[in-house]
Amino acid sequence: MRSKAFLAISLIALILPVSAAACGFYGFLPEDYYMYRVSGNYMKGHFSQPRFNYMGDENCLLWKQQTGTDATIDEIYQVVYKTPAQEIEFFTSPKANLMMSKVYMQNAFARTLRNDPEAATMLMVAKVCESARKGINSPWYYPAYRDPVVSKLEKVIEAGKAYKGERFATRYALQVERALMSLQRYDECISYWDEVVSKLPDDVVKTMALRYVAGAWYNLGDIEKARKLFGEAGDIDSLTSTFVNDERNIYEILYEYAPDEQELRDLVERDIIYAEHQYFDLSFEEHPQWVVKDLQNIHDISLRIAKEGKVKDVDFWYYTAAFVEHLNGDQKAAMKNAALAEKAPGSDFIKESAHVLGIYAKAIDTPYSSKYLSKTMMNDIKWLDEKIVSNLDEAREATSENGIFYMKSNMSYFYWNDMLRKVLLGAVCPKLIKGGDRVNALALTNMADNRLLALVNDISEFVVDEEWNVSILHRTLDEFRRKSSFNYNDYSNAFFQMADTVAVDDLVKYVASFDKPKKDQKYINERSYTEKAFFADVIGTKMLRDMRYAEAEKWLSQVPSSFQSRLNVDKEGYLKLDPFTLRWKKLDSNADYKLSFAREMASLEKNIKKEKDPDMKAMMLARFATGMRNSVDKSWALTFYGKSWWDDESGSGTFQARKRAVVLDKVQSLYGQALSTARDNEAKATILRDLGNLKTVVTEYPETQVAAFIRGHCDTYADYHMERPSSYRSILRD
Amino acid sequence: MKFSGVISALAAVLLLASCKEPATGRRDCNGVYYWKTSFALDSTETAFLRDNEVGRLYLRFFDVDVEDGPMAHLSDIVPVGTVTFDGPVPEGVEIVPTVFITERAARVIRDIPDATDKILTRILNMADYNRLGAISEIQLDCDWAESTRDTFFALCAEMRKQLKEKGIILSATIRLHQLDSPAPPVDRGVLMLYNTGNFRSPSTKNSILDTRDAAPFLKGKRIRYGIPLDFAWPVYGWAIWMRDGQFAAIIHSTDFSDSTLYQTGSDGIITVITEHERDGHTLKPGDRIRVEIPSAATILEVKELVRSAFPDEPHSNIIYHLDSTSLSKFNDHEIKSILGD
Repeated sequence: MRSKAFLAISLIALILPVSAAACGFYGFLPEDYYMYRVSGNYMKGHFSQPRFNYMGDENCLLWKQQTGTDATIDEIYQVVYKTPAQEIEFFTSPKANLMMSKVYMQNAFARTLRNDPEAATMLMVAKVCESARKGINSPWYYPAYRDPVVSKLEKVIEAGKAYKGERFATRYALQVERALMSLQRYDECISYWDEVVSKLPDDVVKTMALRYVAGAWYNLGDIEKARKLFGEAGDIDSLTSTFVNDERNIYEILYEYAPDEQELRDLVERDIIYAEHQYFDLSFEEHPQWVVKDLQNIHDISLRIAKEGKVKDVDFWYYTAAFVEHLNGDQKAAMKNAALAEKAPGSDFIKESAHVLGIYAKAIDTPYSSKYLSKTMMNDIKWLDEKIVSNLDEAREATSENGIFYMKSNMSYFYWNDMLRKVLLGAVCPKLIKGGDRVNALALTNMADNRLLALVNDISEFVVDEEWNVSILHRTLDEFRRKSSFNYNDYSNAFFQMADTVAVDDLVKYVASFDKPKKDQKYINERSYTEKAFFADVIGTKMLRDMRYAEAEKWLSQVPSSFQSRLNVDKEGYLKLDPFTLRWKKLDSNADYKLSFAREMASLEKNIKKEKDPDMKAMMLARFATGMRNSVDKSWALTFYGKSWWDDESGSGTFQARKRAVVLDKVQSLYGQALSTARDNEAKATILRDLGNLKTVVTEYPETQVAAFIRGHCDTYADYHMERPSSYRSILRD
Repeated sequence: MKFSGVISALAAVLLLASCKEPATGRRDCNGVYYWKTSFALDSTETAFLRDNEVGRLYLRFFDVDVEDGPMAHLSDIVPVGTVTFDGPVPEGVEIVPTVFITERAARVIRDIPDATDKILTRILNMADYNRLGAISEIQLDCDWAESTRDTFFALCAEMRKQLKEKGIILSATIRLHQLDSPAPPVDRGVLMLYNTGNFRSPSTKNSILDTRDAAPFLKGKRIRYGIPLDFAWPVYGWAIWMRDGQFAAIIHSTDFSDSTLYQTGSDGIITVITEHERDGHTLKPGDRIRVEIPSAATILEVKELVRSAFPDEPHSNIIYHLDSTSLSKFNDHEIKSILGD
């Protein structure tokens, strides 16, 4: 049989909705793994909006330094940003009943403030300013004479100007600026700042104050000055809001005014990850135009920044340009710029990402040849494997808990393994298959599915006992394979789907490499699942499916009897029925179920050829046909690991259905041959009886003992009064 | 003292004297609504106040609405259309801050004390900041319906409670169709004798005031409403623009004398004959326009019905609204008849 090409592992994954053995969840294709990595923050494709609180974390860190508190950043954040002024006033008051303050009792920073009146006072001034600003910014605000809101802001300004200390100088300056802005005293904002700026230390609060100075300039009409200061302050939202109707795109603007700010990089990162997400979303027939435009803008600005070389992270920009080129299908350009990224100033982190991109682009771009794997890709595969090993600790827990699920659904979770799978399953293996090298495709798919699991060697499962107590059971990979109640990995992962659907001869050649590996195969096999019993069972099963019974017997005889209990089909009770009768009859013993069947079929096949007596031969043909028939029907577990067709013909287009159709054609021919070979009517009647054609027996062969038996057992064989059943399956029951 | 100053002082005395002190302690005097977003009286309007002894000016301060958008039903109330004070407030005229509450706003108000506080604080700040003099009355205008009545009434109750502490009374506008319902918890009301008809309907003759629309609520009745009422009369007009028999928009100007653009039919309906732009609308040939300006006769007719329905009600008469263009359509005698008892 000409072997069928396994065109794409991902394609198979999508078309095999198997039951029983393979309950796979196919969320993504291997080429969908998120690859753009510049911060490592969005590697699962979760892109979120930046935190609204401008420089909140840095501010809390400064509080920590300034007060020497041992409170956590979260505790500081709670007090500084979430606790009302009245509450702070309460627990910092000397006579307060501290037990009444939940914040004080639960928050270490609150306790710090109680013992640090200067800090507490400063924070109260900030809260008063914030409250007044909230009032003045409310749509309901209207100025009044003796306006309490204005009074509060005046007091804040007074307190700020009166502070002569150094510890909170920038904090008071910030509050003064905020108050002056709210009162629209823009000139004073600027003159005050000019007066104090040189005396202030450079900290995050000084940067925060700069925003208000920028705002003052904006309100006074000096837009360029405002933009420059917004850029220095890293206030990108305010900066971009000054560019209404500007023809330049946001990236150009940020590069001009805030080239070193993290916001520019954050924005690029989010937009690229979003574009990756869009490109992989199968609901989009075309990439949305705005995504295409954004990517073009990112590409152009990235190359410009990289070539101008004014920033410290030139490699980031070459890498980003390369990535856009890759998304647009220009792998050669991607490789070129990825290589430039690896040589440009920047960080090892980005260089690694660029190297990965280069590998993947090369895998896609390089045409297949006999040297494709050994000369082009092997070193890169080894490099990725080393990265998996050296970063293994970050993936141990997730792999143990959900690694199998993540890998079967190609969900991004551990960058290095994700990239190995993306390269192998998304690019290399499909290319090998198209080029006819299915053995190496099998080998690399095996490695992609099993390498990480073997390295971690810990599968954890939730176990619920009789009293509904839940515990976590840890098993090694081998224990999982031997003892789990259902092996949800080895019979439903990408490797199995390939192994089960390639031509059996390819699988045989692959398994032969376990003992006699060629150079690269040794490396790959050491990182794969190579248990002989497993493969012998799969090959034997595929041989049965292909009606190659003698070979099936040879392979299945290499499978220890104990292995059968590890099969999901055995655990679910599909290896119990007698395959040589059309009745639903259980065997007394199902030991070596597949081997027994293979033996019997091989024997029948041999004996049919030798048998001279036509009636004996006919009976053997009928038995052989029945065995063959049942092997793809009620005893389907002889030839498949899951069932994907149904009596109502749904699933009729699947791989299994196509294989089944071939067998059933042969079965029909064999039954016809049996009936035409038999000479004796008793033999014919027996064959027809076993097929359930009772009416035909009674009408066509009424003189036979078989017909007499049928007529004499009308209650049991009542169907002989009825039309021939549409299915050959008899309604006889034991 | 200059001669003009003597005259102004005399006018102020006359104005103050024009409001009688009823037994209730509140002056009954002529009033007028001012409903523009920029407060600036021209000489005609100033003269009107003086000549007609108008002692009280109901000045729309702002509307209470919600922010536009798909989530309007979840948003908070906001003040919109706040009046700007671009001219002096005439001396001797009591200002009554008036706030219109939209139906949308009435639907979303959940926290009554909070909403009251916001509205009241803003009103008083505006009055204080713009030196409007002592405020003795505040008015809420809301065309409440069954679904929004409870909210509006709760708002009135809370506001009245707070205003009482300041010695300020609370009034509310009342529509004719609300006379059958319990009065809101306010100190007094202004019965609006305008917008009595359906302006969208092609068969309406005059949606601003039509005796036939008002009669069912007043004729043959003696009404005791529950709160003292003043009465407000329309002196404005507008034009209802229709296309293909359907309401299109209200046009606030009423001059359609240009014969190159319009043709008036025997039924008084105007037909557009030439396409042109007007008040931001594109009028096309075939469009029809119904000009509605209530006549003094109609107003006085309805006034008679009101007199019969409220025979012993001490009240003020209020004109809606102060606008020199609108007022020019009435002569002095007609105005005095409308404002008189």
